[in-house]
Amino acid sequence: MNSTEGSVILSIQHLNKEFSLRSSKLFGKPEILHALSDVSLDVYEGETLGVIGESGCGKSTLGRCIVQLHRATSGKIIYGDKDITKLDGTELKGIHKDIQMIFQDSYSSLDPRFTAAAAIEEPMLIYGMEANKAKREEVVLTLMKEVGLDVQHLQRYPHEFSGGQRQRINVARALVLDPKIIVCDEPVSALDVSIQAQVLNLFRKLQRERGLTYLFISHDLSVIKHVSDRVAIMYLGHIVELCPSETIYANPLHPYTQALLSAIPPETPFEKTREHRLKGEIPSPIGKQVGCPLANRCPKAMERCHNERPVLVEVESHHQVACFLYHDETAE
Amino acid sequence: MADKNTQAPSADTLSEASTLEMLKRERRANNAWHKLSRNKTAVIGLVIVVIMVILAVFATFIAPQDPNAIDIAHTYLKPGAAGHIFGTDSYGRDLFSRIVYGARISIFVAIGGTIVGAVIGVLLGLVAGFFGGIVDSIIMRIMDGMMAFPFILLALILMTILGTGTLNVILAIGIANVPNFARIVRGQVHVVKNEEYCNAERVLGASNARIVFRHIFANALSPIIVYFTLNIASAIISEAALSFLGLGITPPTASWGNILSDGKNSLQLAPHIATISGIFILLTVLGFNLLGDGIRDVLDPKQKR
Amino acid sequence: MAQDAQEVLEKTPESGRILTVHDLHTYFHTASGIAKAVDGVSFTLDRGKTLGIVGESGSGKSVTAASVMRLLPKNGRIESGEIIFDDNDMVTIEKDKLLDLRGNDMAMIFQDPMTALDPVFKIGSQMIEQIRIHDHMSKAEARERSIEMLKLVGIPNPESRLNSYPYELSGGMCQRVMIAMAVSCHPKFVIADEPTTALDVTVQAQVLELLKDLQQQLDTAILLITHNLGIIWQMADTVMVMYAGRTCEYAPMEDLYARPLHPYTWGLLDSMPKLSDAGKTDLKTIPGVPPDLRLTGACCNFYNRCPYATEHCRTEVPKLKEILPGHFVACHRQNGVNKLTRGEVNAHE
Repeated sequence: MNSTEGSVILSIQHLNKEFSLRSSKLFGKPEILHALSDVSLDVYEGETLGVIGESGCGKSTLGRCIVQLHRATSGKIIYGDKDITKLDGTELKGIHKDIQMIFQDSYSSLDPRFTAAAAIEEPMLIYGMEANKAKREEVVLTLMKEVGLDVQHLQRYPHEFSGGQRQRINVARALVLDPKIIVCDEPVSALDVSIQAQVLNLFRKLQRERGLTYLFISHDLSVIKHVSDRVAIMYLGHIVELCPSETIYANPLHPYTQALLSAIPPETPFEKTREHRLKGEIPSPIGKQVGCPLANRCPKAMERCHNERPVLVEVESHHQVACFLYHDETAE
Repeated sequence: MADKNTQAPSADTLSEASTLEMLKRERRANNAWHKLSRNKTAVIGLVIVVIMVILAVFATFIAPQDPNAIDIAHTYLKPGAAGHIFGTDSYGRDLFSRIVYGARISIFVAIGGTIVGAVIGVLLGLVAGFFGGIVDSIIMRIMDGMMAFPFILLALILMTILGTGTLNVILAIGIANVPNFARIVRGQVHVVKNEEYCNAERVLGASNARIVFRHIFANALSPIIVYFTLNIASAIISEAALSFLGLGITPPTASWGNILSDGKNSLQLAPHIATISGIFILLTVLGFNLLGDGIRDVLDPKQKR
Repeated sequence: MAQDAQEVLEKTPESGRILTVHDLHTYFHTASGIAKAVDGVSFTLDRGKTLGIVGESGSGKSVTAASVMRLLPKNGRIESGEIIFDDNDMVTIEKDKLLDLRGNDMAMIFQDPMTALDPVFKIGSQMIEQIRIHDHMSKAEARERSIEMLKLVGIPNPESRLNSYPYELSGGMCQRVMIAMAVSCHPKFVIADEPTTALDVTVQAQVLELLKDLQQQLDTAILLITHNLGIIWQMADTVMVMYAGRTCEYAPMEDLYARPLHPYTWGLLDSMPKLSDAGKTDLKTIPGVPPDLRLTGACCNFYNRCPYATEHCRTEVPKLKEILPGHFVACHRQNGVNKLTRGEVNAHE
């Protein structure tokens, strides 16, 4: 795992994303939903960075902010010396060539009226990449073979494929532009276990052969461990822990990470249920956020946690945590 | 008992070849025409519509007499009398011929009006739906205003401005129908624009225009087609209503509406005039409605048969 | 020669038996063919026990549950087989008796809690309505019972919660409400169809614990449908593994874990990513995709993806046989003389 020795390909700095919600009162002020709060993350070239969290943690929003489907409220995303949050028009179109996305729902991310071949050809038409139709068809077929499909799949429509096959089409389409970074938003969550394994292996093969960098978003810790070099744990719009993927299992530091691990169904019938439980429910991301996001549920919460928000601090080599339990150990 | 659906397949049925075969079978079964033909009421609707359209198109060949040929000596003849299948009207004109030519006018006007409404309405709906915000609000409020107007009043105003005549009737009906199409399309655009494939296209670098025309429009087409068909039905009634009130097609041109109007004056003496024209209006409207419903069932992806 | 599953099941003691399903065939009639969603499934369930049905999409697990509750869509039909619930023949039962049983003696918990509750009615009205249909009591009494049930499932402030609409609750809360509704009439039998798939992991853990507690308290039999083997290890007493409409393996949970015998079960276990694996390795997969259910039925449905398949597998349907005591497998190779051991031969990779 030499990910931390490579160069930084994408740098996310103090990213905030707020959504404005219409107030339930007639003339009330709109309420603010804090989807992402002060998220800072460096992604190294060639690595797979796993992002894990439960619903409402902001992992999907983070992915979408990176590909500019959502425009960040504040903060920067630096790619190749440019802050891509400030780009528009043709410059932004250029960025799309390098940063692509695979969505969770393989069916709704394909236009039901386009055949697999048409869907994969589309990016070439958008960028005017190859004027010759026959050459384009060649490229499409090569890509389909690369993802494990074949000639007979070219003229089929999305509803005529299985979930796993559709996801392969999505991958092929994302690869047309020869991107450097692919944001994978829960790409296998909707697939059966045995198909999931096939698609995960495909992701790894493509990374090896093309030198891709992945930002892999999922809610399944076992999947994340299998694909990632490093993992970022998110809760309520914040990153609470960031470390290499074996460390997640071996030495989880943040109380939320510990709770997450203990909640995972056992691998064997003989495992005892681990302790670390969180009480209550996830708080609302709407309105002012004070203190540590986990404060009201954390079994180890202190006075300080309710008033101040802990930031990510490196407490061990390559291991960052945002928790006051560990801050006293580091020199402030 | 062994038809091709229940026959026990051989072990090679788990192969790629048989999956391909099953795919072909599924495509055939889900083919729009097949689906439609399984729906009995839709087929009835289709038959009626086809008959009426044939009457309209081939009116010159089907009508036995000149629809405007006046024959004072033989007014108000009952159906079946002396070579007049449907009898004659107040001017002694052959009712059957008038009905046949009336079909041409009524259907032409109905389809024409619907096309006018559809073209303008769809465009407005696409613009409102895609841009949202102020543009959306302004367009939709204008549409709301138009819909709030009773149709007859709207038509009256339009006819006063434009004058009478077949083309103006088409325009009046068309304009009155613009809000309906605009609303439906705008709603569809809202739904489709947030579908994941539009997001995927954005991430692939597609421009707004490309997304609207290559993706949103094609996927919004289904409800437009359904509504188009149903709208023809209501346009026929609109034309009939206008002509009935004297605002529509001017005599002596035959339309079902003005035959009906003519017939109301002689309900006691010659009920067949109003009755027969009324029946034709009813059947045609029923036909388009059944067909439209059938098309909706066929195109609705949520319906699994 | 190993005994047929049917024969063995018939011989075992009946006391405490709440559900018997015998050679069930449920087919869907579509315009392009007949999909054999359930093609010969048999199992039993005793009071206070949990039977876990594991399978991927198209395995027939949900259709099996729907058949037991008689909740099939229009084009689905129970073609043959027996379903005996508490001495009621569920296949030929009259509508009135069926409505009497549902919600009362038998209940169902669905996968998506947000859509399984009616969005235009308050939680309270839905719960009270259900209680009053089955246990004739006054509104006030039913209200009391509802509050009791909400307390039982761990919902804070149950009195005020009765006045909430489903959209005001989180997924986890909705699922608890559904469970409360399901157990409010003390059913003998509950079907839980992927009850935690739509929930977060931490909430999932709480909901499963709740189900286990309730089962102990009320002595309810649970039919738990899932694709997640981890949940099976946590909850099930017996497990049935299904593939393409048929049962592959049917055994007590510990036996299935310790000694899985069917090649599909092995494939399933191998393709699951585990936290204890070393990171970033390739997962073992089952090559190919599940078959189209309109094409299955003539042979072993797993034939074209099985690394151990032989000519026999291609021509004859394997029957469910008792290979070890209480452990049933439907596989020609495991039924024969030279049994397979896991990981022995990998013809495909």
